[in-house]
Amino acid sequence: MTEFIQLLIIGIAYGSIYGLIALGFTLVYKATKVFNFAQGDVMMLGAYMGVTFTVTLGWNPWIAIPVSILSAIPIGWAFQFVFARPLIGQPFLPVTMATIGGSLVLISVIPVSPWGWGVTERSYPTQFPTDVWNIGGVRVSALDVITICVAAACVLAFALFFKFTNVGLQMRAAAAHNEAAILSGVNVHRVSLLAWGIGSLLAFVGGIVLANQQGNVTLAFGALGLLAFPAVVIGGLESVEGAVVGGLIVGVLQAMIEGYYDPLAATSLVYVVLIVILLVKPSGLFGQREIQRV
Amino acid sequence: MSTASAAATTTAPASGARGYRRHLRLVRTRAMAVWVVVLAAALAYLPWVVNEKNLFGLALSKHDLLNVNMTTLNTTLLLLIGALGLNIVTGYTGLISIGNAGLFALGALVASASGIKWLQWPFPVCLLLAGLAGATVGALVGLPALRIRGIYLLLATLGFHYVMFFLYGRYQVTWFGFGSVVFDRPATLFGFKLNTDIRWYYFLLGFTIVAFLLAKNLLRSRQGRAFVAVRDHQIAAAMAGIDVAKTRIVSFSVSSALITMAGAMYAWYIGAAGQDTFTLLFAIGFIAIIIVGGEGSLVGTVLGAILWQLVPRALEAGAEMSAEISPGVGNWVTQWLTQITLVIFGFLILAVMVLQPNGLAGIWARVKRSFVRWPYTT
Repeated sequence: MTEFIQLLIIGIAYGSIYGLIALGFTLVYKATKVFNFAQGDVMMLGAYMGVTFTVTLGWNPWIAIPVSILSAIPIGWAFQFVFARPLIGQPFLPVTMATIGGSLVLISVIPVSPWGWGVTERSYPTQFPTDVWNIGGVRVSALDVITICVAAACVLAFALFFKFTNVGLQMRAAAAHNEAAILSGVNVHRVSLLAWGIGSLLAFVGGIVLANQQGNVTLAFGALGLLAFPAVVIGGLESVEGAVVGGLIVGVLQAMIEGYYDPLAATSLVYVVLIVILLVKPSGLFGQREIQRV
Repeated sequence: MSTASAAATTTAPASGARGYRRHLRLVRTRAMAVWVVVLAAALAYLPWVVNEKNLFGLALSKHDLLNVNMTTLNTTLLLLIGALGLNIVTGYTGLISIGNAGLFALGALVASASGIKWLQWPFPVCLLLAGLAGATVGALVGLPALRIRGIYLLLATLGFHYVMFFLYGRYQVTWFGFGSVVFDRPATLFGFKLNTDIRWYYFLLGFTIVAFLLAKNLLRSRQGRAFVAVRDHQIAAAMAGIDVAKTRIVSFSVSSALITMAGAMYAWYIGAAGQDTFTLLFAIGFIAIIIVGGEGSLVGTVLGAILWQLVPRALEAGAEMSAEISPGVGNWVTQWLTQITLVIFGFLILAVMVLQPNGLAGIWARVKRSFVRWPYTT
């Protein structure tokens, strides 16, 4: 039982990171109908930005971490401007292809970057407290608690913003019915900029928290970021709460498989779940059933 | 007029029917026939040029050939077969699949199991078996995804990729250790040993031509037109009596069979294929090939595969040549060869998507048209 709780805590910690990335993806997908294949790579870029400001430039973590998180906004906008903006109004296939092109550019620009990120692993000494408490045999690390709290705060802030602010309402309107929103005077360009900004911001937070958890940054982060896709499918492709819950499910699933079965099998079994969900309930847990007659 | 069309004239006197027959032929005009012969001769002569570094007695340096060697040629052909398969599903049926690396791994696995590890079946049998496995797996992976929306194939194949990646790794580690899956028995084609690069080249060239013609003919058939109809307008296609879901599954299954066979040959040709050969990036490479070449164009796929292989080699050649002038730049390019290639292709994908020139095939068609219409070109 202690082992189960132990794995559950680790799973929730990782799951909240996946949830953040997935939330960012869903937000962009809902607001702009862009299937951003590069979301995992944006997350990886965030982790590298964290390394740059805290380790390479050696800034005080209290300044470095917020600055690296905020750098998500110009980066997200630049990505949108280059890889998504020119294809507004195009069908699904070309839009997705363009983001796949963007993903290729991101993963190859990262190692060549002027700060010498390179292809090998970069160590990232954790900036958060690393205490470990023993509660009834379960080892709870402060890092896990911080990760969960940061993610929960982000989700809460996002939910409040989405529900109660005027801009949030505009975003929901644009997601629900783009043309009707335009007719009612919603500036959809501003909304899409906002969606891309917040989407990358969430990915960057996820990346930096993940890097703190792991203690290093590698090019394998891109593959970890791709776990946002099983998360959004399990939760339902267009569902905001589904993305968070899906992320948690993926994280817990991964931790359980790693703990009880085989660490190497964890990722692939998560994807088996993805295929099963596609087979049994393609709309996911929270998604709306799509009615399509063909 | 060849004899074939003369015979057609006697059986179908109406000029419309004759025109249709002629239109159906793969080689439609005499000029085209000349080009086919020239191309075939060039392709047959190519390995000598590359191997002996000699063009009609004119000695060429390694850099004149843009660092292309026999391995480059054979790899291009292998990737081309895989890309032809992907183009059936992406270019013609309009679905994005990212499962090419997984399917290549499946092909390698089947070939290794049936040709090397447990059974020493002949190479062609292993190849067919790989194709069969690919068709089955393709139908199974396509099944959940394709009944809903095209987008789900991307997700299902992403899942398939990671599952296959894991299974291949497990197979490799269990039976071959951490290095790679070894193909230590030369592939034999009815007694003809494929033990040199040149022999592989001719075999792969033949296979590629057959695959190309099969794809071309498939796309001219009812089934092939159904693929295009589903891509262009699924509701209209359904109205015309096409079973959309079935068509998509057939398309993915056929393409998977071709890709898996390419994977089996790829692994056997390289001789040692580790798990890290079949990464997600490998799969994205195929997408880059067909997009840059031109979606829905078989000639475009050929051009795309050539470009995909040529760019890094040519960059390398350029870097080596410039190393004498400025070693800094040369070394930098050599160090980041893969990354530079990927950035180039990333932006090429974007350019093709935004400018919609149908890739290299579209540019090729435009150049050809302006030649034909000269001097009335704009």
